[in-house]
Amino acid sequence: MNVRIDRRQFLLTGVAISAAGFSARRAVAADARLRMAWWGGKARAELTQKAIDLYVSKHPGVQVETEYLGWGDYWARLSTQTSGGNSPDIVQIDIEYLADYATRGVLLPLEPLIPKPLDVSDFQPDLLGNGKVDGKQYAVPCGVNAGALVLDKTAFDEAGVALPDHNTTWAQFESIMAEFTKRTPRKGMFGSTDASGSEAVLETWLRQRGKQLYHPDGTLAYDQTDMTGWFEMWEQMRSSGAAAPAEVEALDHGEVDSSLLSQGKAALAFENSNQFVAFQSLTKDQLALAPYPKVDSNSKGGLYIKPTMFYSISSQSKNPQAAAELLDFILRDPEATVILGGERGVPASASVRERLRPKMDAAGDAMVDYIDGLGDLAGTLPPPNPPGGSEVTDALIAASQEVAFKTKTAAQGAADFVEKAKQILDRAK
Amino acid sequence: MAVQWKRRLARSKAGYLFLLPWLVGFFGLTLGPALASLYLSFTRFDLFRAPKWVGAANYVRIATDDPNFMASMRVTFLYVACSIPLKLAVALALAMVLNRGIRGLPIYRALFYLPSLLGASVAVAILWRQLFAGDGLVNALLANFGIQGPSWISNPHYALWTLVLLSIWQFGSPMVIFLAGLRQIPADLYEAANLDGASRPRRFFSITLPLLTPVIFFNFIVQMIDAFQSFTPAFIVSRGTGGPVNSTLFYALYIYQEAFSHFQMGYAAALAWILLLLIAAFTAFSFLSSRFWVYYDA
Repeated sequence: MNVRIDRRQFLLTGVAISAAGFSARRAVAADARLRMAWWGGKARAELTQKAIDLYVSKHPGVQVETEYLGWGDYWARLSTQTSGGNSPDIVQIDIEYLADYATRGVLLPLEPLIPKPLDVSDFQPDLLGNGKVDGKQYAVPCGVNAGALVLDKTAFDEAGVALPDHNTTWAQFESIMAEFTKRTPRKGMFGSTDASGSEAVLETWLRQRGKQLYHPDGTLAYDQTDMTGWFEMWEQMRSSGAAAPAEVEALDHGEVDSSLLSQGKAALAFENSNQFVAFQSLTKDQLALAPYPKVDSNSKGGLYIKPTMFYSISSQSKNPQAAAELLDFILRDPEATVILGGERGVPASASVRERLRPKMDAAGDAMVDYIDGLGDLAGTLPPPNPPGGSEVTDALIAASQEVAFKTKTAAQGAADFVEKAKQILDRAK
Repeated sequence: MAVQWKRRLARSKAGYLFLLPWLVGFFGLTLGPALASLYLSFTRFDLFRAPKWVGAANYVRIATDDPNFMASMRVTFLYVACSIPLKLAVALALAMVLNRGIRGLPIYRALFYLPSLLGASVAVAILWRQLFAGDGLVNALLANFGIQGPSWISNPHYALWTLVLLSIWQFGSPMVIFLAGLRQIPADLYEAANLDGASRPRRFFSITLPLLTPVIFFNFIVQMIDAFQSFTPAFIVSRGTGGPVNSTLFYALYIYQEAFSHFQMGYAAALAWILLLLIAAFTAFSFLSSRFWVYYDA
């Protein structure tokens, strides 16, 4: 027999062979190859990876790829992946973006997957409700948190200054922090960060004065006078040495590792209670939690208990069943929930919370105690942010810097910011 | 006619076949996306929902109602205007030093070129953050002279200048080109000038500089186009914010923010087209002006 292969046949055979190889590989992996993505720091990545490794070891044949990034990069990447039809199967979603993603049809309604394999029967109904858009369950909450001061207790003890507590007013806060800056033996450390650019802290301050960020119709619910008062309060804090000066504050980019607290440049951070775990993992000092200061001793606390973040399954997922199984494991498995602890907030499932409590470490205890101890400092959830809200958040940071660097007075900065915020909201409608 | 065409096509078929990879790349990866972005610049597009035609609204808003556009323009022009002359001056000075026939020239050349290889990288930008932070190396050095330096990268008055400095430090590639240009200048011109008793500065301004103008022109164009699109250093040093107070809001960074932080793809596409037109205009202007200062006949 004389076998002659000409170039064309040779090419065709090559193509056929590689195509066969390709489809064979897909057939093996098709049953369970999942991707999961979240935003967060090192602590979250390590814990989550550990829980996933446990799942994979119990489910041979399942492969889970993980992707994690900082907050800003995460949303840039997720939106690009999603519009390219390449979204991870399980995504971590924030309330700010939930409606955006759900209404655009890129998240999967979870009803067909509940209660099997995804059992959420003992989740707090109001928390579960936060994961609904237009009556459909698009997301399940990971846990709850509330705004909190994360304090470097060791540094306060060293300086011989008492920590702020549930009754501290903003005026007292200022004198405590100024005192700290004066007395701390640590070089280059200030009492407080400058939180004038933080929308969450501004919101708490507004709520204490009976106002809020947005009206239910999505328009701005505060005015120039409010903002002038806000910027002036922080100007006073900077000039008395209570809060870090502009130049130092500008190094803080809103992530745990760049925070002035983690850098040893401030003795506290205005954060959310669940971030306690992430902060504690970066320092040997002992940290503590306290509520944000109040306007006066009789005012409301302004805080509220909210879902930290959610998990959703992408509508682009080729294997929603397997994704839901993994999700159920992460949210409810006795071993996995112990590994994950309260890093994404105090768990929303009552049975998990009960089971977890005796096994929690000091950080976990501090967090649960904080949430349980808030009492009437915590009020009702505000209406969700309107479209354009994230741009207003950025504009506040820019405006606070202009005032802090003295390129504008507090009054001018306030007037310009309110004007700009209104423009942004109008345009986004 | 048609037959002739056919024959010509048949003859050049192989040629086109070999060109195919490039043609696919050009149409699929360059021209296609460019045209798509031109279309998107006339729409409102948030990545998920279909683009919505809004006419010239994006361009109108850029021109009339966007303080950040003006801020980023100011930052970018300042950066281009300051970094390029300084960078080219440093590159030329070093090229002249290296052109004196030192021993081990290839080693020095490689060493001086090194920053250019690293310069646009993320690692160097992170290094820059550390050097110029409030408690960074630069301030530690200044402290020896009793100077308490500010936090350079987080101060709106200095942040941009640290980036200009970073750009100057990447003088390697213009330097290598200058070096090649210097080698082209005929030695007999210098000999003749020496005989006539021309001083060293005189020789530089009357021989070296005029004969080097084509190379200067080339370097200028390449560096300018590059500088207008600068992104990585500002993105890393300001962690994507362009701050403090927009002092490092490079134009390319602003485009990125609009596109990927605020999901305004249409608006970002319009911004990108304005940058393209600007670079084209400046390049065209440079070419027109070259008639008056570039000397091509050595």
